[in-house]
Amino acid sequence: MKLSSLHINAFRGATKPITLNFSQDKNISLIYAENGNGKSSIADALVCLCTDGAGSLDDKSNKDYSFLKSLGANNSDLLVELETDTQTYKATLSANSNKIIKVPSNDLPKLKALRRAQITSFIEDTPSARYKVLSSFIDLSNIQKSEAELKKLIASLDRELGQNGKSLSDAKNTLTEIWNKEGNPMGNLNDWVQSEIKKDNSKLSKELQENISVLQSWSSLQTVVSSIKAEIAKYGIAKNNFSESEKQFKEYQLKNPNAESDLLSVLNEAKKFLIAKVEVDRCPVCEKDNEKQQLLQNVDGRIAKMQELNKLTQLINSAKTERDKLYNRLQGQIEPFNLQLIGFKTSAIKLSDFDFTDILSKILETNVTKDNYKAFNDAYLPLNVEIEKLSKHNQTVNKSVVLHNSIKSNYQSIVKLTNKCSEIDNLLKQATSSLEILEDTRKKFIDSELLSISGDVETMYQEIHPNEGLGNVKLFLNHTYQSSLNLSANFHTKSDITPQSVYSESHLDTLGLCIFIALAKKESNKDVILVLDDVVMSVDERHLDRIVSLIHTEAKNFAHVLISTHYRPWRERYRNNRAPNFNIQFLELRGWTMERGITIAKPQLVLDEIKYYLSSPEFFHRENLSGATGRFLEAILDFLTFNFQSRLKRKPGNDYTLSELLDCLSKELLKVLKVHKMSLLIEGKYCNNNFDDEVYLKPVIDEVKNLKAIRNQVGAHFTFDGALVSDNDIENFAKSTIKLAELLICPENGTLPDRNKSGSYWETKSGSIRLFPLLEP
Amino acid sequence: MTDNNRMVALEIVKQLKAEKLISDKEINLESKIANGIIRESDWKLIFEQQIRDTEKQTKNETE
Repeated sequence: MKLSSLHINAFRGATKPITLNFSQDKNISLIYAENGNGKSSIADALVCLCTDGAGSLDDKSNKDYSFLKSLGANNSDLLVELETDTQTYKATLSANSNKIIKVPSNDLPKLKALRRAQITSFIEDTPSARYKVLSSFIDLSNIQKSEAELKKLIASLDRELGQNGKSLSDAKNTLTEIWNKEGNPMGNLNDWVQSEIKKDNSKLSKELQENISVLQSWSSLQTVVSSIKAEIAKYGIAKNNFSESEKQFKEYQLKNPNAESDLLSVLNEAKKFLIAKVEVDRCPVCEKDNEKQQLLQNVDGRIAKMQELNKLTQLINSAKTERDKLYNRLQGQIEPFNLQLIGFKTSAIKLSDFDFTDILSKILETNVTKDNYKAFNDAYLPLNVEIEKLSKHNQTVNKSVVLHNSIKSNYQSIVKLTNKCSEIDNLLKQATSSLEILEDTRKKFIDSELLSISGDVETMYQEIHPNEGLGNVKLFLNHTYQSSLNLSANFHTKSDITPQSVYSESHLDTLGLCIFIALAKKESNKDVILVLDDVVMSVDERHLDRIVSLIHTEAKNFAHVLISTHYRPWRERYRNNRAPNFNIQFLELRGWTMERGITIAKPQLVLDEIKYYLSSPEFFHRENLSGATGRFLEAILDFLTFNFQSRLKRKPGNDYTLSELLDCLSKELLKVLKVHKMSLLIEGKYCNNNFDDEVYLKPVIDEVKNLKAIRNQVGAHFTFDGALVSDNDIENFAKSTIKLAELLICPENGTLPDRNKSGSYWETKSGSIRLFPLLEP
Repeated sequence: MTDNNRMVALEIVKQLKAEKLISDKEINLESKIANGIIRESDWKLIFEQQIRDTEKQTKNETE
């Protein structure tokens, strides 16, 4: 996979649309920018698109994904679009939920991003935090999900076993309590329980049911009898009331022998008759003409004269009605009473242990007789005695039945719960053993992965820190704790020390970098995009060169390596051919503002800048050309004098002048200082033995020596002498410098011959240029 | 599903079968573990099945 372009809009610092076109023949991109110019926005855009993370936002405590969009932008404005040689991938922000939507949602490019905060976290944090960082590289998240589900099952089974175990214990305790209460029969609980559950309880249960039936029937009978008694009492009162009113009536008749009660009756009937008729014109008795009102007046008058008799007549009539009504009601109780009584008798006489048969012998089995009530009342007392005896007996029977049932149900519960506990226990054992296998297999895999990268880490670390007595880095899981990753390394004569305790900050940084590159490499089948977002802080130039070299060496294992840095020496190493600048795409971000967003400025290599001023008379610029040439010449001479350990006066900051650098190359060295341009083979490699050209450097160094004053006179200061320097001399100064540079610079990757593999000369990484001698004679 | 998850899942299932913790007839378990889609209830069913199978086998051998 090759990256073609990355388009970003409304994402973090990209307030305006920006497109970064990737060079198709270079798989390393270096983005240099001072802080705040948007380099992390570009790295974060790739992280957001290709992973579940949000880049540098993940390092913040408040991970609000709404911060992904640029200030003032809408969710719908956000777009990250990566075009590769095979497919285009897009990420947008959902309108309402701040969720990143990716198209396609699966099979996104593999990307591993490393930020400085992660290095610090990885090296200095707790083993568990370190493990978390590692998890993104050795992804076993699905295995861990499966483990989590198994753990949930174990917890559920454990709970279930506890609950069932408690119920089992309760049932056992209940049985023991019963046994104790019963006075520990048979001297052994189990024997007693076994004998109890073997007993046939059906007879006792039947007896209990029969007894209960009789007692319930007796209770119902009592209700009916109570009702009858109440009715009898009411009837008695009504009967007395009638007798009393009859007596009063007779006494009135004795006192008033002429009182014609029959006449009163006729008059009352006549009044009723007259009231009922609409019109009357004659007396209904004597048939004399008379009006209705007149007739009524006459009847009322006569009744009024018989008022007391009338009152007594009404009283006797109502008392009679009440008596007769209550009598009829009492008659209606006969049948229900008999039914209840016969039912009681039928069930009671079945109980042969009691005297119900004799006592109830006079009870007739017919529903209509009144005699049974009397017979019942006569037998009530002995009946009540028997019922009390039955009730007491039944309590004993009931206790026996309840006890037997309790023993049986508790015993059945114990059997059932014992089986259930055994089943759960078996499942729990299976699940626990399985979990051990899951965890153990996962940890072993991680251990093996860690072991497999340890060689790579060691090689990389030694490349950055050769002969420093450091290394033998080991990463291993601490199996005592869950998800815990430990780190050990050598420190001079001590082995297996914790590097955090003795390594310097920059050594720890480079250690973290090596581990991450090794982990990312492990996962890459040349298909991982490696993003190194500002991972290198202040390191000295030797270590910087080695880090750069390491990244260039390892880049072949990745689809693309995107480096962002604010470390200016890194930029200058590339600009001045002190790093392999031919193999990288070099970009610079400059001058971010809210209105302008991220601005990509293509940085020029200094050599290209010099050539540009020389390429056409209209581009010629005396001062700029002199200045650029002088600085570039210093970079080349810095390399030569360092390689040959030329003698220079010690100065703070090593800020040597061009003259000092030129003059310290000894005569002896210049006599033998030469390069071999090695022959290029068909397969693209350089020949080990044959060279196309042998060039001594002294002539070209002499040329620049003769013109060295131009750098100060024209390129650095305002002097009268500078104005006298001809354009031609300035051009020659620049051309000689280019000649010297092109003799030394590798045509393949733009580096200088800084490697000593042979032990007898310096050579470029590709083997294209050899520089002689190895040491100053 | 990453290769790591698949590789580890294969090894896990192999060991679970070797230890007779799950049935030899269990299929697709590797895929479920590797994809992280196996649930608590699935695990329970798998173990219950294995217990039943073992009991059945013991019974057959006894007979």
